[in-house]
This record gives sequence, C-alpha cells and structure tokens, in this order.
Amino acid sequence: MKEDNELLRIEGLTKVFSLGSVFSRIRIVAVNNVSFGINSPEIFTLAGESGSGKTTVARIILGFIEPTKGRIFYRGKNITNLKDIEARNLFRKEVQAIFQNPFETFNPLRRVSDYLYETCWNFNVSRNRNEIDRIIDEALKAVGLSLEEVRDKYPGEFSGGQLQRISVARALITKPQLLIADEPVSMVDASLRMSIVNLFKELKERNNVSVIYITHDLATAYYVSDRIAIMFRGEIVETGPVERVLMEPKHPYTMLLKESIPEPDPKMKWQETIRLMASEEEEYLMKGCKFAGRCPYVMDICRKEVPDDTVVDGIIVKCYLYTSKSEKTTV
Amino acid sequence: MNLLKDLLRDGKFKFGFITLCILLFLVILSFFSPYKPTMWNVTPRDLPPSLKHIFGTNSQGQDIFWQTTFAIRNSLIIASIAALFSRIIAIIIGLVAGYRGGRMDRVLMSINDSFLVLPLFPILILVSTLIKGRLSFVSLGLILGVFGWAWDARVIRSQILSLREREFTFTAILSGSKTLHLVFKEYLPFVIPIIFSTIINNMSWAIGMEITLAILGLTNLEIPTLGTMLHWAISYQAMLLGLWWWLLTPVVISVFLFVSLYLLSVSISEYLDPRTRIQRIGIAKE
Amino acid sequence: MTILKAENLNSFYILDILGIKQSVMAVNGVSIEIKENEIYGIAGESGCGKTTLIKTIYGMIEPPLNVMEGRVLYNIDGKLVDIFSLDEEELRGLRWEYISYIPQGSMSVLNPVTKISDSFWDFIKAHSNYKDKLEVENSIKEHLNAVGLPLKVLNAYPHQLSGGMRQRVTIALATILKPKIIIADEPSTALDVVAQRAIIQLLKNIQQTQKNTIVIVTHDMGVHANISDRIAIMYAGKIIEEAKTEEIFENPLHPYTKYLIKSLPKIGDKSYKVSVPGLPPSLINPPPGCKFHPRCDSFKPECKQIEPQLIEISKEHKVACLLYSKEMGQ
Repeated sequence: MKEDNELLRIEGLTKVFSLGSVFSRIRIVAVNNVSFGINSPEIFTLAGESGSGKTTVARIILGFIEPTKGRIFYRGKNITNLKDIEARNLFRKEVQAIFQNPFETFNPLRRVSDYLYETCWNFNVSRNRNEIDRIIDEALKAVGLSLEEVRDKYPGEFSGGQLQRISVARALITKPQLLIADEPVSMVDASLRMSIVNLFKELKERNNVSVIYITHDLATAYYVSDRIAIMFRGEIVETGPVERVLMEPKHPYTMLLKESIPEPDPKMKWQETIRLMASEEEEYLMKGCKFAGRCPYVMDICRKEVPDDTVVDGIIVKCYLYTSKSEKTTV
Repeated sequence: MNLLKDLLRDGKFKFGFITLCILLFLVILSFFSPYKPTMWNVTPRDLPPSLKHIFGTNSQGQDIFWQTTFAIRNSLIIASIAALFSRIIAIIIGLVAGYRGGRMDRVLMSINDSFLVLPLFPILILVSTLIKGRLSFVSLGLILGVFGWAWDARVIRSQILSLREREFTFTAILSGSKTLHLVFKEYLPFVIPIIFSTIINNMSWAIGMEITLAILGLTNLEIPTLGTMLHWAISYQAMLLGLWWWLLTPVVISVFLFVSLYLLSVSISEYLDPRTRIQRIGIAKE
Repeated sequence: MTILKAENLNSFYILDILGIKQSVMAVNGVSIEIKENEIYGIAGESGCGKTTLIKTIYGMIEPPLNVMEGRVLYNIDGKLVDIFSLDEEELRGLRWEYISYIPQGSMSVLNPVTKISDSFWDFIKAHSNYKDKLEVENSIKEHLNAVGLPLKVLNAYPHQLSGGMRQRVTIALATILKPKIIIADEPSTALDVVAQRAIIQLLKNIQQTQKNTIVIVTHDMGVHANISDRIAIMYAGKIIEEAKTEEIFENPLHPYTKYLIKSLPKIGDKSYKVSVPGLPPSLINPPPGCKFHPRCDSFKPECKQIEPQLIEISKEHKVACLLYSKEMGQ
C-alpha cells in the first residue's frame, strides 16, 4: 500500500546473525520479514520488548548494519546497500537519529558543542563561524536550552535529560525529514520524560518531521504516536492506528503487553498471574508462530507455520485467529 | 601551568619529577664538560671522590662525574628514540587493525604476534655481534624500537575494538565524521593514556636493555652510557680493587633513573585514565 | 508493629578528588517507620538519594559513604536494636535471615559458572546449619513451587535463562530463608514490561505468603500503584511526602508529587502532559530552604529561608511543605 506522501518504506527486511564456531553455528533471525511504511508527517512507533529486534531494524535503516534480505526505499528511491557517497550524505542529512543512553551518546572526553559544530560543518549547513553559532543556538533553544549554557562543557556536566535534549538538538541541525528515536526516554527520569516526548509532537506538528519512535513503553507510545507496529521476536505482529491497536488489541501478544503495563492508578491492579518463558533463545528458534509457547489461544497450526499478514478493519495482524475471517493480503 | 600543578599534588609525581629534573640538569651540564668523553687519561687515575673530582676518577683516567653526565644523556637519547619509534608503529598498527577489522586486522595481528613471540634477547645479541663496531646509539635506539611495539599495538587495538561499539561512534557518524577524523578525534583521547604510560615503561625497558647489552660488551663501548660505564667498571674489576666510586655511581644513577621514570609513568597514567579525568572535569567546574 | 525505624539519618559521601573535599548529602535528615506485614514504597528521581537510604538501612556503609548522624533500629524479637551498635559479625548474622537485600541489576549476582541449584545450596549452607541434604533439597523445591518458578531452572546455568527469569531466581534466593524484611532496589527496572509484571507479582506473592515486609525502591509510579501499600516520595535526600498509596495518587499534596502524578502518561488518555520544570538539584550544593523551591510554582519568599519539616497533615498523610505546615498558618 504505497501512498503519495510516503517518506520511507521497508519491504521484507530480514537480518540473520550467525553465532558460534566453525563446528556449531546458531542462526538467530533477529529481524524476520519486516515491512512497514512511514508517511510524512507522522509519528510511528515500533514497540516491543528488549530483544524484539527493533534496534536492529533502526540500525539497518540508518545503514550501520547490512540486511540479509529486503529493501529500503527513501522517497521512492531504493537505498538498500547504498554505495554512492553523495547519495549517502544526502540520506544522512535527511535521516537523523537519537539513542537510548544519553551518557553514551557523546564521547565523555569531548565537548558536547563539538558535535553540534561538526554536524553543521560536515553537512554544509553553514561554514560561516557566526552563522554556525546562530544555527546551533536556534536548535538548542528549540529544545529548551541555549548555546551559552552548553558551550565548552563536557557530557559529565549535564543531567541525562539535558543530554538527551542536546542529542535531539544535534539531530535537528540538518533539518532532517525523518528522526529515528531509539528508546529516547527509557533512561530519563519519569518526571522529565514528557518534556522530551512533547518535543517529538512539536516536531511533527510545527516542522512536518516524521519520527520513528522505538520503545517498550506503551503509555508514551499511546500519548505521542499516530500509528504503531508491535514487534515480537523479530517479527511485526500487529500494525495500525495507535488508538485501535492499544485500546482494542487483536494479536494475543499485544493483549498481553497491554495488560502488563503497570497502570499508575491503584484501582487498576493486575489481576491474573502470567507465565514467562524460561529462555529467550527457545522462542527465537521456534518454528511457526513464535508466541505459540505462551499464547492462550494457541492452535495446532500455530506451531507449524508462521502466519501471514491479514488485514482486519484496517489493522494488519499476523495471527491464525483472523486468517479465515478476512482476505489474505501481502503488504 | 594548571596541568603541572594538578600533577604535582600527587606525591609520587613530585618525587619522580624532581629526580628527573635533577638528572636532566646533569644532562645539560654535559655540554659544559671540560673533558671530551671519549678521551682517556685526561686525569690522574683511580682517585677517590674529592672536591676536584666529585665522583672520583676511574682506571682509564676519566673524571667520573663528567662521564656520568654524558652517560645519562646518551642513555636517555637511546631510550627516547626507542620509545618514540615503537609508539608510532604501535599506534598506526593498532588504530588501523582495530578500526578496519576484517582481513587487514588478521594480517596485521599475525605480524604483530610474530614479533611478540620472537626471542628478543638472543636476537639482540646476534644483531649486536654482527654490527658491533658500527652501532651508533641512534641505530641502537631504532633497533630497540622495532622490537618494542608489538605488545602495545595489541592493547591499542583492543581499546579501539571496544570503542567502536560505543554509542558515540554512531553519533559521530551521524554528525558526518569521516573515518580518519573519527579515529583521531574520538578514539585517540582514550588511547593516549595507554601510550603515555607505556612510553615511559618502554624507556625504562630500553635503558635496561642497553645496560645489559653493554655489560656483555655488545655495544659500542667507546660511547659513554650507563651501560658502558658499568661494563668498564666490571672489566677493570673495580670492586676487587676497592674503586667503589666507579661502580657505585652508574648503579645509583640507574636506580634513580628507573625509579623516577616508574613514578612518573604511574602517576601520569593515573591522571590520564579516562575514568578519573571524567570525575575531575565535573569537580573543576563546581 | 514497627519492624524498622530510621531516626534523623544523615548519610553523606565524602569525596576527595585532587585535594578538594566535597560532601554529597545523599540522605539529609530522614526519619521513617516501617511496619510489619506491609509493602513500603520509596519513590523519587535518580539522584534523590533512595539507593543511599536503602544502603544505610541495610547497614552497608562503606567509604566514601559515611553516616554522619542518626540511628537505624531493627525490631528483633520484640526489642529495638540499633544496628550501628552491633559489630560486623552480628550484623552479618542478620543478613538474609532477618533482612534481605536485592540490589539493582541483581541478575548478575548469580555465579555464572555454577548451576542454579548449586547457588541455592551454597547459599543455604552458608547461612544455616542444615545437615540433611535431602531436607535442604526439599525446602528449595518447596520454595520454588510457592513462588511459582518451574523446577527445571535448577538445572540451568544463569546465562541460559532470560533476564526476567534470572531476576526471579535471585528473588527466590533472597527469600528462601524467610527474612522478615526484604529490600528491593529497582527490582524490575532493567526488564521489559511483561517480565516486570512477573517480578512484581512474585514479590506480592511472597509477601502475602510469608506475611513479611517489603521495602521497594523504584522511580516507576506504575509499579508502586500495583504493589505498595504506603509510598514515601524522596527529593534531594529528604522525604517530602508519605501516605497510603491511594492517597498519594488521588490527593497528592506536595507540588512535586502533584507534578509527578500529573505527568504520568496513561493508555486511553491523549491529553497534554507536562514534566516537572527545571533540573534536579545538586546534592553537593543544594538550594537553601526548601530544596524544591527553584522549580515550584507555588513558591513564596519564605520557602527560600525555612526548610519545611515532615508533618502529619491528616490520617497517616505526611508532607514537608510550607503550604501546609503550621509555620505558615493555613
């Protein structure tokens, strides 16, 4: 389903890691046939537990890892394994990222402002000293800081929340079209998270920037995003508008995730106990649907074959519960 | 400057630094020596320490004090050449192998490991015997340098390997940094403490090697160095003849040299350790 | 019945870097009373001092941490004992049998080269005098069953288990000797939502079965809502509010707590949320008077001069704020 203002499209992305020695190799399929599209502008959440493959997807999009299979289209152009240096530079200018650990984002032995200057310089945003200062100051003001506060200081002199904001400022200097935010608030104090999450909202509404918001925190995902894709053990199991997916989850895993969120409301405590898998590896290596081991609705076919994507009421689900109900569609 | 003041707070550094300064002062004095170092019989022989000859004279008729100033100077020159040369090789090989990885890394590390397992001492003896007469101290420094880089190249490479996985590498790439720039601006600050601590260790090692080779008579014995002084003192049986000042002087100076280099190396690497540096950055501003 | 009491605790980290001495006032005049058979939650941002408070209560005081003032009392067999008056030997005897501590990131306390069953076995041997191997094995199995862990984990090595499972095993280990108090420091923070739920349910289960006390420290208010009976909110080394869980969520009094509760995102709620403005204070040079005043929107000039005390405003609801205390009048 391609739309006219589609910014990014991922098709059949797969990444297989081989571990072990010459004699015994284990193949871990970290990302399995993942497909989705990002419109402009929109905030798209890629949600899942740690180890679900979401960071790997981000790294593949950013070009840090090469995919085993699959294609990536940016603005309609195929950029998978892009070798042309000019095209790569253009891509980097338009697609920026921020990461989970604000204390690791910057080299502790370098000044934080150096990165801001370098971004300006390397992408030819400006080469004039004074203009660079102005641009950086503007970017910092957009995140609630200023060049004066930040100049000549090292990462150790800032708090996690401030560093994360500086990281966003750096990513905005090249006026990107797409921002990939990998767990941007999970290491920031709960009391400060919303100010960063609100930034993403502003970026979309005021500057038409799209954001891929990667997280395991469904509450902030609900708050900030338009659409959401739920990842489980390397596969996307449900995609759709965030209200529908999180308020009326279709896939049993999404249901489990939603129930497990600790509601900050003492009247809504968890009711039942749940089962955990003893080992993650077991689940990764399962044939068929990877959730079959814990699914309360499991059927025989679930253990044998991986279900296809089905469309139900505008939501894409990967589950045998729905295959007979609606038309089968490959996306 | 601030750096020196900070360092001087550490007692170890203070002692090492002062000792080294004294030794360097002696080196400077060597330029004012009234005697040429290679000439014999310029003074009466075997005189015990006195006001005229502070450290006495030896059986070759040389003033030991002025000999010592040359000895320290030459030993330090050999050590510095060896250390500098090996550092440069180690950095280049370590950085390239660590960042490029793949086949380049494997090839470089095989070469590296070959150097590591070479039996250093027998080879040095062999080399020295072959080119004994023509071994200037610069060449000696270079040879020692060629054998001193393997260990550190591996250490630097491991450091780079771990740095490559850290998130700020990605931030730098996203900021448009090219490979060379990345390696030098981002990684070198982490690598420098290793280099500094090993540079001084390497110097100590080189001095030690030189002394050993000299005592065995394998270097150019006409050039006064700590090693050659010891060699001559031993050949002339200074101990038996009671010429204690001849033997004691190079020994004591060597001990002081080693101790001061050691203390400097330990205190500087403590200071440069990224973990303590990061702590200090915050404190300085508060 | 009070099981643990802290009186006017002051624990500072004394740092000496390059000859400059600095005190980090991590716990700054804290007094709490924890009852038997309850789950007591301590909430607050990172850097507010909660981990230091926990370490002090547990008696784990190592330089550069120094207890400058105050007492910590345990109720042992009906008597209140000042733990700082005990020597190292006696204090160690209390650990794991009377009071247990599950530190942050505790999944790594399991010995990576031995099977889980061996870890349990070593543990029990070190702390009791069981002679009969069969008896011990049975008690381990019983305990695992009681806490809902599958027996097959006994034969596994730690790295073969998932993060969530490891954490549950660590908790089982910490509770097998049925301690009266369990202190858990961010027990589920490094885990994802589903594993977190399992951990919290495990802790609840243990408390309900063994009827002991759990002190749970976490910044995640959702977790507190699900498990804690009472919550103490910590800020800059002080407790600024303490009340029953329902009270804290429905009727927060301190401006900081109000911000905290309001800023929590909920599924089904897309209304605009704000964070606490400003920055967390430095513990080396905290602001004078009330430590929250630079970020408070109910700020009055007196807040800069007077440090508010923790006062009981209504039944079991204490707050430290000049908006409520008698110094201001109402």
